[in-house]
Amino acid sequence: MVENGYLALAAVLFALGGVGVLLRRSPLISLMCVELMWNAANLAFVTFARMHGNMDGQVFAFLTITVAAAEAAIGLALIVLLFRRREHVDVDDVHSLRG
Amino acid sequence: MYESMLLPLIVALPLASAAVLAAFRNRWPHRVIGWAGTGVVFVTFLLSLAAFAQLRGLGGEGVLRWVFSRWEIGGRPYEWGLVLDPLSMWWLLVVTGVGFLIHLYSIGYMAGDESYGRFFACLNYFVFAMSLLVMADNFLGLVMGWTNVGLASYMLIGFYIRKPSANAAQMKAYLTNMVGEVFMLAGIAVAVIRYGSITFDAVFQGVQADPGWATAIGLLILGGAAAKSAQLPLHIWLPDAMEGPTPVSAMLHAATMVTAGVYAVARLYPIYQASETAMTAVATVGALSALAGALAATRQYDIKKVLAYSTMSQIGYMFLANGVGAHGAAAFHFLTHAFFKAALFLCAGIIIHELGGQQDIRRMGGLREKMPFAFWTFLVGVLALIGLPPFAGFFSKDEILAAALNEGHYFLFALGVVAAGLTAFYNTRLFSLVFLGDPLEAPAKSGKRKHRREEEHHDHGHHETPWVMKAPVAVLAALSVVGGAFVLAVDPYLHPVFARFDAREVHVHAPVWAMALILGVAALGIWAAWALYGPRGSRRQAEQRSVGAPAGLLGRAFYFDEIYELFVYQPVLALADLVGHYADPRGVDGLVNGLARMAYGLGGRLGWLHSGYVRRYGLTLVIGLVAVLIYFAFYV
Amino acid sequence: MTPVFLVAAALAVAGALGVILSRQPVHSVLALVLNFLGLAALYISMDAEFLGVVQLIIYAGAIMVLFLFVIGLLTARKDPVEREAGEPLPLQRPLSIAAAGTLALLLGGSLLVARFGGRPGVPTGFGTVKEFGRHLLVTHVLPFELTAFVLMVAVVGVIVLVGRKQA
Repeated sequence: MVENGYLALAAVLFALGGVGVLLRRSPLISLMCVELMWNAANLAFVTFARMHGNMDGQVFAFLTITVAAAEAAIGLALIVLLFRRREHVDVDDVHSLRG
Repeated sequence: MYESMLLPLIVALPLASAAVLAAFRNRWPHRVIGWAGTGVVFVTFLLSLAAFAQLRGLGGEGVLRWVFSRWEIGGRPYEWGLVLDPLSMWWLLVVTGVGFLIHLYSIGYMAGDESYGRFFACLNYFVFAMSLLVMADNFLGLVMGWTNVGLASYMLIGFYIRKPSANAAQMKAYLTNMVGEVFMLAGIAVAVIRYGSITFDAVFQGVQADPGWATAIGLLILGGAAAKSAQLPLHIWLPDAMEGPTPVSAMLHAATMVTAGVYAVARLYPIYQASETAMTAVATVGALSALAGALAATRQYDIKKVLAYSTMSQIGYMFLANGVGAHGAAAFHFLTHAFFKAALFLCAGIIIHELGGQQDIRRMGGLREKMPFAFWTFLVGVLALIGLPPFAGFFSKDEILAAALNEGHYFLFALGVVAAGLTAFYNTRLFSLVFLGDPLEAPAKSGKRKHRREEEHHDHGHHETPWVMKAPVAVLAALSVVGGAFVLAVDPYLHPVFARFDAREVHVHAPVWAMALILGVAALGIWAAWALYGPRGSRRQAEQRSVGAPAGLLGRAFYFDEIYELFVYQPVLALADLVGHYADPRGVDGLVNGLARMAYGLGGRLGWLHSGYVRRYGLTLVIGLVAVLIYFAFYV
Repeated sequence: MTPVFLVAAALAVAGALGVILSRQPVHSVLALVLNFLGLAALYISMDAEFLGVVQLIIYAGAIMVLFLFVIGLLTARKDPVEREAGEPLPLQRPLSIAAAGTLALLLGGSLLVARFGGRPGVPTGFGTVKEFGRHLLVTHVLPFELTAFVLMVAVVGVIVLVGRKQA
């Protein structure tokens, strides 16, 4: 089936986004990689919607886009806050949770 | 089977009253509390009478029932409710009737006590607990009532909470009863496991063809009954329980509560009748207790302790009756005993009250002129207790000994006769020392035992006895005279209960020679006591000891306390010492500390995982995700 | 595998790689836009017309502009370029690549060979704006309203976080 390709593509994009989050130390890039992962999930939703001829998946993808927008707004606000405090911003600088 | 709403009312009313009185004990005036508590018990008595009428209306095999809840565990149906059959009714009427009289008496006796409200709350609670016990329709209800009665007894024995001896006594009573209760629960557990039901009927049906298990269940339950009813060898708590106020002694530790064991054996009679061994055990325990109690009572100096040992002895008679299959006679003796023993205790309370807390009979003497009312009522009680015709005690004791004789228990019959002679002896001694002649010792302000709280408000010397104290004693004394008439009612009335599983004919009067023998032995006892302790007897030489001296074998009641001290208390202490010094610090603490150390070490080793770097956390998460994926991809 | 899918998939993968590999944040944003373009094409190829358009307008338009705006704002003051002096966390790079690679292989591979019991055709009007609107505003109206609430919370949160006295 042709949809299998779409799903595999979603998995690959998800993994790419994940590896970006794990490797890049700039919070801006991390945030973008998270957006990548959101979109990979959305792609899977839309694919399954097409596969089953059911619109619910598309609606869910739409809601995900909304939430992702909210997340991006909050994330960017946090980044702005971090930049205000420090010269350089690095995800690794924030590690007060250390056990 | 008839659903009656009277049953829950009878149980709930005293309980609600106890709760209300406990809540308002410091706010309401004493007069209100006393009369409210007494009134509630009177209403309960009236309700019991109404239930009695209802039960009579059913006639024959009819019983009143009220089911509170039904449920199911492991596919077995259980239910909890109340039931009134003639046997329960018999007990319930005595509990509420005598209970009402004693409540009335307490209004006067406890006057001025700072914990007046607590006293009536506890007493009402006891009426509730005892009603619950006698109205139980299955083992579960029986245990519930049993335990509640134990708690009420605990609270009332230690009523004078600032008195160390009372605290010790209440704990002793509770622990002794707990020992019994463990046996009882074990017996019930065996019955429930073996026959798969907690209802009496199912177990009764089950034991019919199962004598081996009937023996086991019967003996285990006998352990609990013996503890509650102060029978050998678990009687040690009863004399100490006299630390409670006198109305408590009259109500709980003479008239009603201590007969719970008699009730339990009578209620569970099919279990005992299925096993010859269990029956013999009940009868033997009863006869030995009757004898031992009577013997110990001959050398006591505390008026209440004499009566306490005599209670043990009389309940021994009831057990003897149960053990020879004369359950009707046991119930009958319970009734007459409740009358005359309550009368005696309340009378002793009047004496103690008027003498300002004095309980030592060697400091009494010659009270006949000072207290004519107490003299006459006490005389009636003593005669009934000795069992002279036509007083109530004669008929019931006669019936018990006759039953023992008819069942062929000649040795137990002999023990009972000897105990009857001793009963006559110690009662004459008690009566004579208290009311006749001169005091052995000069009357002092305080007795051998310090009754601080009782003295505090009884300290003003001679008290006038109010009518609320005299009236119950008069009623009980009158019942002690005419109560023998119930001999005509008891067996026909209880017949439907005992005929179900028992083919024996138990109601047989003693042959004339036996009756003459009993009376002759009693007369001998009276004569001996009169010679030793009478007004013209050699009472000082007979006593041989002055106040405060050690009291010897009988005075110490066969050294049971000392034996328990040596063989139970000391080993338990030693064991506790051992556990406290070795098992606990090394075993238990070692285990707990080891676990703590393990968690600590594990945490130290795993701490590096918690680096604080978000990317590290993310990596861990992804690795976990991959692990889950691998599992699903290759193993599902 | 239709040609549309192949081209769009290549576009999306290239965009994703661009995001994680480029040094400059602005380049990453542009790569992300490329990725979104590919995704929008995929959506449309799967009859999700409305969603494809939304993807372009909201994601590639609004959100990416937001990113660019933040980058511009920060670059005006300081250099936001990360200090890429190697990897400070030991083993982070090989482990991450191995884990993500396994993830992509396993998940993608299993999805590629999996058989789904889907229906061959689609109902008429599938994915059209009219049908989508009916589903969104009739069937799923409660989640829709809730997302409005989430957006409002996000707006308030951003103001609380950033909108201090000096801002």
